[in-house]
Amino acid sequence: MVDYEELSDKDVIAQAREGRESAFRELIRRYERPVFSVIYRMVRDRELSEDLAQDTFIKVLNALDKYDPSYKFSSWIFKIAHNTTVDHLRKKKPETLSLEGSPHARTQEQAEATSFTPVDTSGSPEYYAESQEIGSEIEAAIGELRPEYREAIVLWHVEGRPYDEIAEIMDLPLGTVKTYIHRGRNELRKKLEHLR
Amino acid sequence: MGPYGGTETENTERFYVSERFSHPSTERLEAFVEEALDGADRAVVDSHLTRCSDCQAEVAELRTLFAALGDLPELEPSAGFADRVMERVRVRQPVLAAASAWLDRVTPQSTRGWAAAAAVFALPVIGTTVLVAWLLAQPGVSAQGLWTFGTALVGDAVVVGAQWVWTQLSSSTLAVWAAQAAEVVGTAGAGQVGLALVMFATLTAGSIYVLYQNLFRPQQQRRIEHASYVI
Repeated sequence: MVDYEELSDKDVIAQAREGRESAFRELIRRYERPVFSVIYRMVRDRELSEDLAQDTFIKVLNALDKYDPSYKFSSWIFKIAHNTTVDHLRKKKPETLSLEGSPHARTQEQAEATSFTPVDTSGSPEYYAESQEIGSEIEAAIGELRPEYREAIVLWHVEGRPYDEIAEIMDLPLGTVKTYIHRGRNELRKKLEHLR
Repeated sequence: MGPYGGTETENTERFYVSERFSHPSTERLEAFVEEALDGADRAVVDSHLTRCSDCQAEVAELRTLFAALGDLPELEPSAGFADRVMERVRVRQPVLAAASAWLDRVTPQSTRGWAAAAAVFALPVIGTTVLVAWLLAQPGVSAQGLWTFGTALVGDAVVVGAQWVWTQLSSSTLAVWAAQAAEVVGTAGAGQVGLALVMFATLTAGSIYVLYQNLFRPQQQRRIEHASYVI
């Protein structure tokens, strides 16, 4: 029995290439949340995010043989998530997005089923309520950013990816990524002014 | 000489000095909060901050924004996500995986590797060319004579090889079956031959479909772009 916790991404990929299903599942376990989070914050629709995240993983895992280990696996999977999401958004004009659920929802049940309430359960009940409120405000403000600013901001601030990796993921020059993040922060500061 | 008349170092110092009295840009304050400034740069901004309450407030606001964004939780897909993905992932049998890994190992991975492989495969061609050139340089050896000798040699080898293959085939069980099949076809009616052709066509179509599903279709899903490499 292989203890995957101890292995690097590259070692897990080597195991997957040998035909071990458990190694594939380990890669999903490691990346399902980061990939899903980034996609969700780009499209703001739970069902759609699940579909796009699923497509991302299927593409990545079926192409592991072609993965070049000299590149970071995280860059690769985020890049494929980016391409999958951008392809989808290009096919469909982005709409004003809401934390209250999918813009396609016709009933309250559908809206609830597609919505998200970011929850941080750490700390006191007061902290929980406050952080939930601030978190929702920030999520809403992020949702109003231009998609390219939104993605760059989420990758840098939430996923902790360095600038050069974001440039690789978004296929943009480094300077453009820095500009997007700077402009995104400025817009967020303006949108969140009332919380000061 | 820099654009302002001094050396680059002098200009940098002037910039730092001026920054003590003017406000650093927001980008610079962001870099300060990100801890992306080097020692000297950081010291200049630090020194400005001790005297400027506006910039202190801006840095505090940036820190709050950074902290709030950093605190956003990662979201989780619904239960059974991994199972749904794995239903559509092709996990190769270990034997195939091992064969593929072996192929990967023996396949050159770089331009230099391919050049070396090409050189190895070119050696027989180069060797033969050198040999022919050397033979033609010998007194009494003409190009036509060498050609006649060479083609006779190759022709003999082909004839001997073909004879060996024919002997093997004609004495094999396969040849006996083929003879029996030819006899059956020769005596069969048009209906039987038609039925056999339909069965053959159906089996061929089935085989092609299975091959397509297993070999080619998954590859069509692999149109995935990598940062600087394409799958």
